[in-house]
Amino acid sequence: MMPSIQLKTLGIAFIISLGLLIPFEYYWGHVKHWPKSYDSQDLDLWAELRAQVDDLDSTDVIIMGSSRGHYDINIHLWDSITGTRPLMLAYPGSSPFYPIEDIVEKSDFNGLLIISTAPGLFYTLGDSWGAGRGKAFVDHYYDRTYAQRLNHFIYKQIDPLFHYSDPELSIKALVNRLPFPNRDSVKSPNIWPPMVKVDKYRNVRMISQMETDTVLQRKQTDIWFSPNRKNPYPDSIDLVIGHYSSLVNKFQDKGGRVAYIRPPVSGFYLEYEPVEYPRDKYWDRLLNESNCSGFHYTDHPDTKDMIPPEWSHLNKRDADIYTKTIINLLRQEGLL
Amino acid sequence: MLFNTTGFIVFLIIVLALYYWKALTWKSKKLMLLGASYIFYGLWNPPLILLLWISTIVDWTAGKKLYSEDNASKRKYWLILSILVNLGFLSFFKYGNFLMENFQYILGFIGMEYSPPKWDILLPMGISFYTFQTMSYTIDLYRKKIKPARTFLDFALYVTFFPQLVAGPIVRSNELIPQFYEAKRAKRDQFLLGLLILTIGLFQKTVFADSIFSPVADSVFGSKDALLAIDAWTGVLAFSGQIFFDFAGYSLCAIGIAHMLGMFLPDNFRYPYGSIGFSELWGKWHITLSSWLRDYLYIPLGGNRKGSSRTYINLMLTMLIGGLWHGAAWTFVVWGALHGFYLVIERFCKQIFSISIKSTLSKLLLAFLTFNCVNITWVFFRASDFKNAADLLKSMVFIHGEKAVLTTNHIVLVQLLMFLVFIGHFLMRDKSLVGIIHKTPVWLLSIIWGIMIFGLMIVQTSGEQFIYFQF
Repeated sequence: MMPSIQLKTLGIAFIISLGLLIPFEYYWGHVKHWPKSYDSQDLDLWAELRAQVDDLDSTDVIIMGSSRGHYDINIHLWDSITGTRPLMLAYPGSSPFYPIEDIVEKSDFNGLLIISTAPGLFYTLGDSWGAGRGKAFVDHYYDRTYAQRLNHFIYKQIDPLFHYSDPELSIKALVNRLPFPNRDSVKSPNIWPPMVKVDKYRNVRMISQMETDTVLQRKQTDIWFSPNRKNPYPDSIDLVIGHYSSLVNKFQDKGGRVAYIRPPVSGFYLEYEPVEYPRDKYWDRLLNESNCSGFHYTDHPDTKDMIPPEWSHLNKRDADIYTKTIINLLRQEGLL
Repeated sequence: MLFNTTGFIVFLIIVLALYYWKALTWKSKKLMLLGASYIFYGLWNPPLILLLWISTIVDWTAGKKLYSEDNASKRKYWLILSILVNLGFLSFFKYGNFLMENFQYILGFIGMEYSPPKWDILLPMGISFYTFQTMSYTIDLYRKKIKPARTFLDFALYVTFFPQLVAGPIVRSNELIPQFYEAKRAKRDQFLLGLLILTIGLFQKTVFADSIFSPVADSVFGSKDALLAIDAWTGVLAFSGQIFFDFAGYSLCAIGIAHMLGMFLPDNFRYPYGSIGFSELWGKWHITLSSWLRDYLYIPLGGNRKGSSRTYINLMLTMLIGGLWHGAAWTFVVWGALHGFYLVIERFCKQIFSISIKSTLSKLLLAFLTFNCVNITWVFFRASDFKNAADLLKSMVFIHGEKAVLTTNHIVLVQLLMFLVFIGHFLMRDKSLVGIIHKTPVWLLSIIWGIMIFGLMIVQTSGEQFIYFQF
């Protein structure tokens, strides 16, 4: 026998779901200061921009690398100064090992390629965790189905309207916030605090709360801090630099220009990176062998004293200064 | 296209709007459903629609010939053609690499070196499901159990009907095709029931399977270390929960959508983890596959009509092939063999001892034993290879293990949920979902439905595939 379900049942169910959703939205937005934002790690959004590469010409700019290049350059400010908005293809927590290979080998792009280097991710081989993430979004670009494109198109309209669409607030992530203590040998999963707001161009701005709230900053620096961290690939420097320099040279042969950047860091990264990745052995050699320009933040008065509030990414004011500085330096070098 | 995506919700709304548009005739609506089904499938990989078309045309033609032809040998040829085409596709796409690897291994065993090129074969989504479905049509026609579909459109829609196209239920032609003959329209009760069932299915898939159980199962089965017993058991229980909620969730989505269209699809799961014994389990787990295997494999092999020994052999053969149906790897064969072995042992015990189990406690203990035997088989089903399975089994029986990989949150949540699943299945083993919905007070139903809608909003999985799509 067919159960009798009335419209009233569905109506009450919707009211109950709204009764749960509204406090959820309020709590994460107003109490926890979570921004309504696109996801900086959305593979489909990355793929949508990657698809635009073939429409670019020699006057255009692509930014690649990891989160420092992604978060520290304001592409809208760049657009207002130069008249061209760079294509933001940098991706948090990834190495550009495969993405650069993809752009050089599989596209006709011959404009300006800005490659951001975060040593712990950049100087790693193709089997590293960061390179794996890079490979995943390149693969997704080629493998995405029409259904995924359709989902992305629809979801793109919803994503920035609600907090609930943030993966960090998904049920999967919220399970990690349950308060049971872990066994000594089990590492607790990272609980990422809100840090940035992302728009549909993948432009990223640090949220004000992270710029000023030391509790939030501490939550983030606790994630970054790793006292025994070592360079996992100390003997592979020839291979890594050889990989990038051969790709860059190939790109230059097509008429493209390349500039490496090394964005500012503070705190733990300021102590760890110069020891594990000494400048002369890594940065200087990378520029020499790639035969291209590079802008290290310590070389320039406007950027050398910048202090990222959570050690790795700039606040809005500094990101704007950093963007202007990079534009000026590129112009001086004749690359822009 | 996946049910658990926003794209599908939009797709479904458009399909329903067209379906209930009064200006369209029933034939136009069926054409629309057929077109929508091809879009549903083609949005994943358009060229593979060709396989559906070939399968549809071959089986339609064979079906007509099987019905009209009187010559026995010609009828047999038509049946063989249909089976060859269907199993040929299945063998090539699903078992091509597996067969080649084994061929290479055998050659190596007799001292011949052979390195075949690696075939980059894409497994067409749901091929095992629609292949079995269409084969049942021609086999039933051969056996003169059914009449052919009245029109090509009805048959094509039977092969392609989008709610159950890629992961079942595997519907027999006499259950679905007659529903296409006359205009269907869900009454409000049926439509709302369908919507509720769809919500339950999506909730099971996205909240339980993807958000809670999947990360734990992935973490345990992906570990290279010898795990502590608590971690190993939690991981296996998590997979047990994941595969049930994933697959039962899909089936419920399909049934719910069919309801919204005014149609009916058969039940595919009836609280299987509360089963007492394995013959009961296979009457409650993936019912449409087990009944397919029974009717088209076990019974033609002789079933239980040729003595005990032959019955055991038939059971084992059926379950071995059932295992291979799930995946092209020897681990799946072992999974099927274990189930076959359990069925044989159960049957043997029933022949030797005549025990009637009456007390609830005894039933509960036997159900618990069955549940844990099933959990052991899942190790082979989920493990990447035999070493992975052996390591995990050793960890489960405390033979080795020192590494802890799971957070306490995950252990508590999985153990608690699976305890509730087991108890819930045991208590509801003789009930149906629709019956339970019928008896639930409106206020409670509204609260549960509201919580599920909220859960679906915040679940935020990135449209993860249903496990059974790969079968």
